[in-house]
Amino acid sequence: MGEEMTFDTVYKKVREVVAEVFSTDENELSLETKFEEDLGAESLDFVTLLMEFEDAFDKKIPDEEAEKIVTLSDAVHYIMALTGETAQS
Amino acid sequence: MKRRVVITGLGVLTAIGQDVEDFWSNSLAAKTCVSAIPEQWHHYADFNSRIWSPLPPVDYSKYGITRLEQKQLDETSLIALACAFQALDSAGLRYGQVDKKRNTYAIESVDSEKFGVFMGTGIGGLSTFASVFSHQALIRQKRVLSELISELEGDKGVERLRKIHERLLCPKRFNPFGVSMTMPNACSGNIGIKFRLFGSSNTYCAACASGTVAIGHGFKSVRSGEHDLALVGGVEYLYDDYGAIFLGFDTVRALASGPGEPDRINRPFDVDRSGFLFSEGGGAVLLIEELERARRRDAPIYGELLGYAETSDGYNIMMIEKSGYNIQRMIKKALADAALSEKDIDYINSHGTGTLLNDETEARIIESMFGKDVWVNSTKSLIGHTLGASGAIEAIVTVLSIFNQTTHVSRNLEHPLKDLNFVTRTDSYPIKKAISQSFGFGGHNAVLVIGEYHP
Repeated sequence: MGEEMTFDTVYKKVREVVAEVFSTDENELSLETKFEEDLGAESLDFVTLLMEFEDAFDKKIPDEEAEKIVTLSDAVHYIMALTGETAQS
Repeated sequence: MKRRVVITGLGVLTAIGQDVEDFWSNSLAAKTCVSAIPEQWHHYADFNSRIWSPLPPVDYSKYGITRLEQKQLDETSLIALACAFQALDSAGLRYGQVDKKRNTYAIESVDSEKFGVFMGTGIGGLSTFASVFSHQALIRQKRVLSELISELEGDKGVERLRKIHERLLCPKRFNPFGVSMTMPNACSGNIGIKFRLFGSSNTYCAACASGTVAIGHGFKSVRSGEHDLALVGGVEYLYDDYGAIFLGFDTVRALASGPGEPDRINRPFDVDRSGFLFSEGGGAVLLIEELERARRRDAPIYGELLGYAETSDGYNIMMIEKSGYNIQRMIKKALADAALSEKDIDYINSHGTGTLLNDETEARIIESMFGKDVWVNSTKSLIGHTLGASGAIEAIVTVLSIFNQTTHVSRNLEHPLKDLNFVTRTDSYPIKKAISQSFGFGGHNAVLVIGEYHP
């Protein structure tokens, strides 16, 4: 990704991806929104979500990481960390 | 008394038309869509046939199919859905979204438990499987090759390694939807899911007869009362990056080849025929409905399904049985099913592949059973062979030929192998009753009898 990865830019993109995957309005999403409880996510939704995050951020996300991502905030922090790690390597 | 089954909706997607109107007008104009096979395929093999009929890009978003669905469904399912939407629209059935997230619909004023789905496909999601397999086989090897190229930078021969690396085509990521996209039954499953239908949902696999078999079984099911309505048809999609599916047919010399203009090579029933035109893909779906139900809702009625039969050659996995005995037996069975005889038939939409033995056998059968009393054409002379979709596309041509009292020519037929009444000009033809027949690898034979609707 060409642009700088700030919390805001990552959050903006995460919201866009989540809104498309769950066919919901971005305005109904917040950092506290829970994938399972609030959006009714099923296992296949997580598969789709990870694929779309990978495409959006051009990063590989291992499938097992999905379990750790409960809220949008978790997703943003995970992707931030992933970007940081990649930048250091 | 048997229930009557009528055709009230039509949907089609082919190389020469992506809806019924375009497909029909292009068929009557004898249009075709033939081009050289993709240049990249020549890196992987030598081909005898050099032409195919590509499917122009389809805008699935106009059917409300989302970007994510388009990524997670094989082309055969997308074609099936597009054709199903067309069929429902032309039937005047209304549907509304019931689940925004799943993007699914419910059809108004139907009993979904008595609404079946009967689809056919020859090889289902093989295109997806080829892509998934290429990733699995190549991705790590490509990584090693990349490292090697870096290490050898500047060496003689590194350019050749780079070319090899470029030509090992595969997706960057393993497709987690590989199974649900590859399974042949996905075309029926996805129609049932999209429209929340709870009757039978089956996919028939009978090679090039698949679409005809699917329609036949759907017809019998509605006639018996098990279902009131059904979406029936066939789909196929045969592209892969390496041309391996194409080569499978080319290597057994099944494909049209030879010198001359690309759009003149495919010539079913001509003495100079050389094989079939490989079609990238396509599909067709018909909505069939019990007559009284169709009448009550004042549905458009395009034609009536009158009979169906199927037989097996029990002979060879890739060759038609030359005597045609079991095909003749099948036609007689289907006519008996429709309470008709040979003399009642005005038109035959032939299987008409353009392969040497098939056309010879089929022409001989038509000659011995019907003589010159029927008009005969080959839809494959226009769009090539769409395998499991072909029977459904040809059923639609048969319905439209009856409905419009005209039909398309058998293209490139300059020297017919037999003196039959082949359609060589677009004209008015008083077609009241017709048959549409298909013969598949494996010896699967199937035939539909279709007639003009009379109240």
